[in-house]
Amino acid sequence: MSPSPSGSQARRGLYLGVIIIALIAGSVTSPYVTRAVDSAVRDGQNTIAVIEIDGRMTIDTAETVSNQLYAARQNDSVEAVVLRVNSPGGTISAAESVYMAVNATARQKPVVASVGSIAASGGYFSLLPAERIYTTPGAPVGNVGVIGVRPAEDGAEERIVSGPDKIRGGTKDDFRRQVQSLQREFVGAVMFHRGDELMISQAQVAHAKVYIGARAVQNGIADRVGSLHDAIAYAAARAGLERYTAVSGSAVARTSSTVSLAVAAQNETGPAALDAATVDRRRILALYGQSDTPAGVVTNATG
Amino acid sequence: MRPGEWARLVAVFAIVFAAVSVSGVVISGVFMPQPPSEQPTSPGVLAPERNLAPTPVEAGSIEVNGTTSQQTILIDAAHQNTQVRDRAQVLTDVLTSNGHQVSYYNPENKIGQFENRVSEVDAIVIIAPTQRYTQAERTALNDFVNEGGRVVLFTEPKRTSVNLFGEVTTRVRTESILTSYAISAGTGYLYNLNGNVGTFQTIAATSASNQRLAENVENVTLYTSTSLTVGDEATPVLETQPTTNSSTLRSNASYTVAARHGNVVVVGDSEFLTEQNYRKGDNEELVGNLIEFLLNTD
Repeated sequence: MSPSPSGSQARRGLYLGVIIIALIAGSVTSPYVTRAVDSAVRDGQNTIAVIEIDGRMTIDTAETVSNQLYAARQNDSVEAVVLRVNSPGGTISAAESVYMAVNATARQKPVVASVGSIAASGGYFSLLPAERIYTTPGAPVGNVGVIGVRPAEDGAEERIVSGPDKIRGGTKDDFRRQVQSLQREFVGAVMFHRGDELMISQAQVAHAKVYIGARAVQNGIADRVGSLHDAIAYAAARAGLERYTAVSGSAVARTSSTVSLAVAAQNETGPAALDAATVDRRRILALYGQSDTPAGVVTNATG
Repeated sequence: MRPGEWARLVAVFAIVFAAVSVSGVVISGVFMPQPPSEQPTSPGVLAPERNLAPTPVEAGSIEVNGTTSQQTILIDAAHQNTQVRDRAQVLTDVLTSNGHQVSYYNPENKIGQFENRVSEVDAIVIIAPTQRYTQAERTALNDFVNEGGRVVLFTEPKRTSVNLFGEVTTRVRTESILTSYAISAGTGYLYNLNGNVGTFQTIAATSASNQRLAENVENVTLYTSTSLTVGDEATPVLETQPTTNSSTLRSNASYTVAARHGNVVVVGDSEFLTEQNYRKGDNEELVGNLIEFLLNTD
């Protein structure tokens, strides 16, 4: 026997009512479900990326660090970044590149710095955007300044050049201004990021002194005496994590589903600036210590 | 209703409820995370307009006022004077174009010759000698000054450079000359990190007295200067801004960088004399005044 029309309508009404009740109930429970799933997912992925800035910085090492920072930004499982710095600096362009990458990362995730053996000159410039700087008590920190190295007058061999500044890249005056501009940039970055913490004046910063970690903490060049683990723990706390895993920056870059920039990096780099012994050219270094080339304009007042 | 009907109703409820509940998860992006959008990485700190150093003003020319008969000016090049040809070139050009004679003193064998030469000239220029003057030479220079001859001496701080054999320090040897004129020169360099006009060693100086030597000199640019200490008998001519510091004293002060004692003028820098630098700020005014002093037309 087929159902009567009134029976069919009643059934449709019943189904509609059930659907409406299910929609309302689902809407009420949805936020809780979302939170629970989110928490469950994140519990399995809470990661602190430890990215190392090691040795003299060239554009090659800067690209590696920048790529790892890019991967850390793009990877949602990375909740915070710890920069482990053991570097006396290097070329100014390398330091600037890493600084920009750290700055971009610090806008998205907590970034904490940990100084191991040294963070001087460009090594210090790179970590400036970090919200807290941990250092070992004896590590040299600071040395805010640049060194300009200009080739000596030509004369060793006969050459034909297309312009008066082709070999040396400009006059001594031009070079002075370049060094001055980069000095302003470096000191300006220190004042911008650390001005509220500093107990020394801008002029004292510009002297380019290097401080041992304990003194650097006292005068605001750094924040805390502490180890890498202290830095990681603080980064985790800042990201609101109770359970986390610390992984290396290279591992983050490897496992990241985002584009690896390693190939692009190879295309962009020339010979490492500090190792180019065959070409004597104008260089500006953000480096603590003597450059390889004796001649040059040295801006550090302590020199 | 039949039991099968109830089961269908429960199934419909479960499907709709589950779909709505999980939709929040999907919408919130837990399962479809979007990578954060990249922000521009160059912050204001690196903005060119904030950091680029201004180009210093280069204008004017050296004017020599007053008239005098042809004079002979001796430029000492016999005491391992630092880059004497480069630094004396502008002085030579201006003096020559004003009808005076310029002669460089650089004999093969200088024993006894300096004493003879100074008696033949009207004024002497000494630029950063790194070799000490002998007792006889100093006596001849003092006699020359006492008899009305004029001397302009440019000194400089100790310089340290690095060559294949290590660190080399070059020291200007002017102390034994200067003691006769109540002026002494420091060994350290001056610098200013609060308003320098180039790198930290490029400093500004202004007139310290109303002497003719300091006329129209309000903003001289010096490149590697040392400080001068001036006794009662000498007069400061130029001084630095109060924010200037000394590499040896490490304290801010207004340092004297040019001084006069009778017929002798001492300047703490010689790099400002070069063709690249003599037109910066009021440098050409200072060079003009020094030439007028040499010619005794001031």
